[in-house]
Amino acid sequence: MTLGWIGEALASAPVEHALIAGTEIAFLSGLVGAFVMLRGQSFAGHVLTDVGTTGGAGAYLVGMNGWFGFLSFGVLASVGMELAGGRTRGERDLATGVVLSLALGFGALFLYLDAQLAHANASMAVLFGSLFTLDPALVPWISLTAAACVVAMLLIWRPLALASVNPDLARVRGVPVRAISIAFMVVLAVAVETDALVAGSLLATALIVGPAATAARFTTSPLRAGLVGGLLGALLVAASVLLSYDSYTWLPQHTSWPVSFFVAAFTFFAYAIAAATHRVAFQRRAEVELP
Amino acid sequence: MNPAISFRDLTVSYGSRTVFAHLTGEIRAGQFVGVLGPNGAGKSTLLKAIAGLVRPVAGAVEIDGKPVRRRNKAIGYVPQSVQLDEDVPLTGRDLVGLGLDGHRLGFPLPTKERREAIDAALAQVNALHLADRRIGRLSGGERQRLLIAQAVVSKPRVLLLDEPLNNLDLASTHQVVELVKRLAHEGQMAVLLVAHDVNPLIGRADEILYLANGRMAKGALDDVLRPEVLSGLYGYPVEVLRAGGRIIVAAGAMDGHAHAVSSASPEASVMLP
Repeated sequence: MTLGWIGEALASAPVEHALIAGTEIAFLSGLVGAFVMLRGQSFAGHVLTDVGTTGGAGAYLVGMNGWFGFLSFGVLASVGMELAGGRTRGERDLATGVVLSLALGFGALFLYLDAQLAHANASMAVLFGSLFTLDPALVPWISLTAAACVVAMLLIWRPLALASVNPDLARVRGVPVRAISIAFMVVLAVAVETDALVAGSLLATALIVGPAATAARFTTSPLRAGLVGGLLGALLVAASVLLSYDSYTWLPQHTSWPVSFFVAAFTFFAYAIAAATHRVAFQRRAEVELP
Repeated sequence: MNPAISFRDLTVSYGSRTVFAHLTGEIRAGQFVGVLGPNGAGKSTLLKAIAGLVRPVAGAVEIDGKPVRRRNKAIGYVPQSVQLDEDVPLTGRDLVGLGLDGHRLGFPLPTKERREAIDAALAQVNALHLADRRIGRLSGGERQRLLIAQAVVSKPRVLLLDEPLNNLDLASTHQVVELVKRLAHEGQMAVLLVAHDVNPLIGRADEILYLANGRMAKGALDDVLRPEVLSGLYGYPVEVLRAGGRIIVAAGAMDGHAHAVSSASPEASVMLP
């Protein structure tokens, strides 16, 4: 087997754009994923993609770029969820659930109307990703957004960690806990909604949860888990983009397999390998008596 | 010398509901005070008011003679517990480090001083062996000790613990209370520990601050946990039962007769509005 196809793939502009945008957002997602684990917020990630789907589908309907639809709905939803967070957990989950149903209802309507009125590929792009059909003008904006979010995450890393594990101590020390939680939710929304371009809204959270969870099997500090998870995610996406490009020749009918399939498969295997090789001992040492 | 904590005429309300009113008291450095009272009496709210997290509608709190303020390194705060999944990448050392400089932006430089400060705090709670273990894989007592290390690593003058004994087994409960007592006495910290059961505090806490019905009684355990004192607080008859060195506070007279609600005992300072 020759690897000449990789050079050929790299020479193609859509592949280049897909690689740039995909790896950058995957890196951010891994970084964010470490905090999603620390804060136990993977449910929020799912909600954000679901709401983003509605925005993405709606954007195609009015002829806007899908990314803006995903992004605007996701960011609005993230701030809304965080502002509703002052109440008890049960109330908040109920409120989120009700709003989510409404959003999904509109999502269903928009996807249906997309298929009927706008172009037929729109719903496929929303659900399964549209990395190869990215508007080239969008690529610098995605890079800029991802870079800004990475810088923001690294900047608020420590106060966010303290606010996540001990919010009262964080408040005593002067950390603006509410503002920092909202900032994190907005970054999470940006990561998830841009992942939807890579892996589709159905699999967007795979890039948030998967690489970070894999990295967490063999790293113990949140920063290392975030950085390793980010690099792992970027690697997975790059491999997925190249394989998706090559898959055009795999079947006699000549059709590319979706990037999202490879992302999901790689994410799963990376986690399985890490889990198998870093099986964690569950022994508990006895409590040490105090003098 | 100023008391480490003093509050005067402290009144806190949520909306139209007054949690407590006109509380006045002092806690000296090195004093370990257990905060008791029924659910909803405002035990946690009192802690938050002292920490400056809840703004009182009247009265004032002073830490070391100065009005309490935000960005405070003089106060350590220990929550009920920290819930993390087993795989979450956060070690004991990470957790304690956040108590030292978690309020700063960016990343900590791995300096010798930082490492030594964290090690010292871990040693204070006998948790050096937990430094590199994940929080999610530790027992409740081990986690609670790490949270205490997180609170004391900045060498605070005041240590506030909000129901740290919840969800702990009996052995861990006694360990944590012994540890808190030792920290208060050796480290000359003023300590307030909120608990729902008085028994782990018997013979360990220097004083009891009992909150009920918006009022408080403060003094030595045997002076506060008396039927006439608690009945005065609650506003209805309360029995204090002692059996086998344990204490149970029960509502209502046990002999079928309503007990007269006496005035406060002279030994304990009961605040009646």
